[in-house]
Amino acid sequence: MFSKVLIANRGEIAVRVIRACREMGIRTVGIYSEADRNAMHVRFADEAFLVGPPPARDSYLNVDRILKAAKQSGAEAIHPGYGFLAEKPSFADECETAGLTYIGPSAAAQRAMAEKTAARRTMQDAGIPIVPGTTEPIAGFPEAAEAASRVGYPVIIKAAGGGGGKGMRIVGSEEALADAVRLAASEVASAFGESAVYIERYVEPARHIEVQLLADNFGNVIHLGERECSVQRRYQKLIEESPSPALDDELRRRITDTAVKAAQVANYDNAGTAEFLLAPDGKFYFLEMNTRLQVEHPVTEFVTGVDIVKAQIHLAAGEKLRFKQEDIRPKGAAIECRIYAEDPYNMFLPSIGVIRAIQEPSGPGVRIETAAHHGMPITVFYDALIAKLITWGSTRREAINRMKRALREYQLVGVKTTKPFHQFAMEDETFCVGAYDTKYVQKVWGAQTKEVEDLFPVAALAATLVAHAGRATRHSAALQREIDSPWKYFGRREMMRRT
Amino acid sequence: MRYNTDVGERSFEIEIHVDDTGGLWATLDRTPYQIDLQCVDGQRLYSLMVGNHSYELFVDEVDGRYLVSVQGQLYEAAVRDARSSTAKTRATPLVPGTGELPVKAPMPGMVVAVHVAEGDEVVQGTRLVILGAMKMENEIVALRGGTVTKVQVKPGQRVGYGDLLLVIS
Repeated sequence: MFSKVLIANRGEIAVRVIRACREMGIRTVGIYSEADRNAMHVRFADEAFLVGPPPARDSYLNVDRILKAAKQSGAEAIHPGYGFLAEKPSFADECETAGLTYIGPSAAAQRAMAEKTAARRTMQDAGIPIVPGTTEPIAGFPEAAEAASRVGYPVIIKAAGGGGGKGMRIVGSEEALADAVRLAASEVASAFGESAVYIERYVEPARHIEVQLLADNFGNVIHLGERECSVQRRYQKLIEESPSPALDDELRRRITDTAVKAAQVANYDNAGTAEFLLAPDGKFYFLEMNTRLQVEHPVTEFVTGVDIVKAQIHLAAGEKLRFKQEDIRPKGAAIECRIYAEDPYNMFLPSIGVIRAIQEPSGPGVRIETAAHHGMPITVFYDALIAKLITWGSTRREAINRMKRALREYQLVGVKTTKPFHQFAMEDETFCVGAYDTKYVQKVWGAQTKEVEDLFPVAALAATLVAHAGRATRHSAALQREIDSPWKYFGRREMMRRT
Repeated sequence: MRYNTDVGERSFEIEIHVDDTGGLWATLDRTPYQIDLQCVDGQRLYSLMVGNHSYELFVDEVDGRYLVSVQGQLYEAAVRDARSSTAKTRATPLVPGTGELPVKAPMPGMVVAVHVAEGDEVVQGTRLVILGAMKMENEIVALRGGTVTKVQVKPGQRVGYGDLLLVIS
């Protein structure tokens, strides 16, 4: 086993990996940009190295500096977390060249999945259902038009070289196709450096189901059940849960079996996630394989009891899988709410500022993954994820009730967050019965601009009282020192005035 | 002291006063509440008791505006001194002496009970409606005597801020 690991990331996921390492007796090395000197992951790590200025391309993507830090610290392995250098096969190669173990799937496995049309061909050849569409990159408009009319409108245009919603465009008719292909290609080119796109039928309404996989280098592949991630805005997930309320036992068996088969045909190793679209008719289609630790991995950890980060480290160290499929017995239900610094009342636009006060929830069945702290600036440089709030319940209902309770406990002032949306969803009939799809946010929240009014009077009272107390204390700072509460002082002053 | 405090699109009239025993009271849209406010950490964490109803809050002042986090919801409030801001509210009497007196909901909530029916004679102080709001039951009393000419609500009904409950003539 490694004695020292470098975590090439920041924020909550760096803290998460440091925790796993510490429990395993592995020393940790953090990296940080000039903007992150005070960040939690720096304070948590045993050692930390400055790797550059705030912009990610100069620091968290600065491979030379990161490999230098690894060498200088004597780290034997690198965990990429998610984002930044995760899912960049060239980085896995560079680690290997530098004599470091990359904690994650091999560069070959990453490459096989990174080129989306090639991955679609691999899966199709293995008899795994894929969304009808092209299995080669589209060369130009005539080809796009031919493919689109073959699969049927509406279609979705996607980047052949990457995911994350970049370049995605839904097209309803041939008239709109030429422009859409051109725009998608240029957007994709600026994001991934190459302009290849492909076309799939746009399946709607659909649910987004993914299966967590673990694979060792001895040909063993197991799954840790599914996660449902249909609650999204801008193709980015807001709520995830396991198990999915959309699957019965039979469908669950078929979808998880398919995921395991996908990992086998791709000769996959370490942890990964197979993503599927589930159509209303019960048909499901392979979308892509995420060759990294997923943001939403804690929901699976909660129901299975498996520590996925530790499993990644064990597997990267060349160990055999410690579990067999029959050892995995998911229990209860878990839900994750992603708390972003975004204003849900204004189209989920980013909200920047400094966290001026924070109180995090705790108690039974509650887990919070965060690197947020009092005084933390939320900047434009990095992802706006403040925290992942995860609850477990013996039933889905209990997990929802716990989430409501935890969201109520979670107080944060300084930036706007997605909490009001989550509080709405946990009360919402459609979510509570599990009958939602990927259009959920659009359908139920839409252009919601109004806050919940029930607590307006309390907020008004509190603000007025604090303003008033401020007046009272300002009027006599000397007297105020002798008393423990502005209100007692205020009362005495009023009494004196009367007598 | 009287204040006009805006939260969202709502405006509240709040009067703060101290009774003979030194107890603090806040009258919010004509309903008096006994208040105890303690700053827990010397910074922004407060415990607010409204009667015996307990609220934990963060209150933060930024450029004269107040950010209030309560039960996980974040609100922004503007507090104005009523003396300086609203000469017009002073000019009109709070309760007209004659004519129709519409009785409106001082806050959003649920009608728990209606104590009067159309045609009833009421005097100042007669209990009219019990409104459940802010996790409390709030008595709405007659601010003037007269005859109940219209009852607009029934128990179990949800009402919004300013919705008509009944009319006294």
